[in-house]
Amino acid sequence: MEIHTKFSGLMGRLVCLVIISLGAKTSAAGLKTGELFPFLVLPRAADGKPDSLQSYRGTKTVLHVFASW
Amino acid sequence: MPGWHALTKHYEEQGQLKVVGVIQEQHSDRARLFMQWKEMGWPLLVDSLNLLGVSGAPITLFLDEAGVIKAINPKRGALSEFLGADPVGGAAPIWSGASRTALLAPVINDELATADQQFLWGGLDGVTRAISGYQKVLLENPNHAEAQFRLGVAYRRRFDGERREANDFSLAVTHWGNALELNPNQYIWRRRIQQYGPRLSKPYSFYDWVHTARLDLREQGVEPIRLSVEPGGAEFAHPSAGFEVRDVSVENPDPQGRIFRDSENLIQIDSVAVPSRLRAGEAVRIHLRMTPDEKKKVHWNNEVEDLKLWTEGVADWQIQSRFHRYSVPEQAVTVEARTVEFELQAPEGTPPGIFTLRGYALYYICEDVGGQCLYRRQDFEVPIDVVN
Repeated sequence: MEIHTKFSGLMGRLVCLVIISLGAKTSAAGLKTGELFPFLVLPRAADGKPDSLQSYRGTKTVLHVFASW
Repeated sequence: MPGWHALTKHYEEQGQLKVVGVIQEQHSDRARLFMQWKEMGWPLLVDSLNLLGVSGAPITLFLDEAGVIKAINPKRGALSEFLGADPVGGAAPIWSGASRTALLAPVINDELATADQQFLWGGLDGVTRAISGYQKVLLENPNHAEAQFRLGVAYRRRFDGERREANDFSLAVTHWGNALELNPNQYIWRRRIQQYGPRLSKPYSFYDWVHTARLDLREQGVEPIRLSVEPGGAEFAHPSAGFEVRDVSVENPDPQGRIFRDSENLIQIDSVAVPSRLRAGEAVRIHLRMTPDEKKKVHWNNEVEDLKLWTEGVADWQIQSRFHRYSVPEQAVTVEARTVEFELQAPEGTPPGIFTLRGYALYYICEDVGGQCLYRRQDFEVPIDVVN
């Protein structure tokens, strides 16, 4: 158990190092200017129905990834 | 966000711009209440599993007509330039339903993706199927950080619903902890533990705004969106109003243990310690949830006095308060789950091991099956895991 914990801790540090060495924008990991926004179908908060950013194609869109906290 | 909203509202009304929100919160109705309060009417998509893979929020993106990301976290002043830019390939394309379907990219068909879809669209059964799916992924690879986090989200979702199983919340906390250990830079994951965990050295006001939002909305004659789970505990930067901590000098209300025990468990007590593992010098938040047994048609009897809770504490650990009182609702009879939360701190130098917090609850209940109203005591034990 102890070995596993230590290993996980080491893994965590490795992940951290990789992120730093890539110099990536960690908060927007995977999202890059000039690339298509990923295909993702998610429930709408209002009614739980499926929706995606793809359904707004044809119109310029401002997307806020946020939290109410 | 409200600043952006003021800026984009006009263009949105003119049809020049679409504004969309994505949230990663566990309880999406809180974000809905926030938007109702701030009069932000745009669509909000719920990504509790964080499939988008962001490691923090907020992030604002400009997407052009084709869905290409034109800017990440632009300054507000960049909006007019973005709107003035020529649409891709001249006129904006008009999408029919059929062409939109054609845009559907092939979905990656693996255990993780299947579990994600089960969680999103499978209803209550889907959440349980998603839990099995994530467990299978982790059986193959326990270091799959995303699967650890999503399994935690699924457990907590089930905990909040009618299909709750014993330990769902505590398993959620364990898996969120595992995920964060694998990737300590994931802010979205860290927040999940913090919101249920002990008060931070610099308290973070997750949901302090809820109270003001409700007051403002009611003043305008608008009924605030109802929250499925009321925020509590560490989700507020100040003590929550629902639970009153009384005088710390109050004495043990039943030191001799003379009150009859609730031997039939007419009230079920579930306990969770957050975080699930702590180090010497750190604090832990204990969540106790007391639920009347539905099958025996047990209900709280609110006509006598408040529910009382006493804890022995743990050795020389600091405890917020040993005595707690849950103020009963105004109605004579209710069946709600009652939660009590408090914190303890392990002193520096605490050796690793399992420590036990002991305590008991005193309550008035009635059961319809036997037709009796009773005053009962139930003892509980909460294991707390201290690690190196």
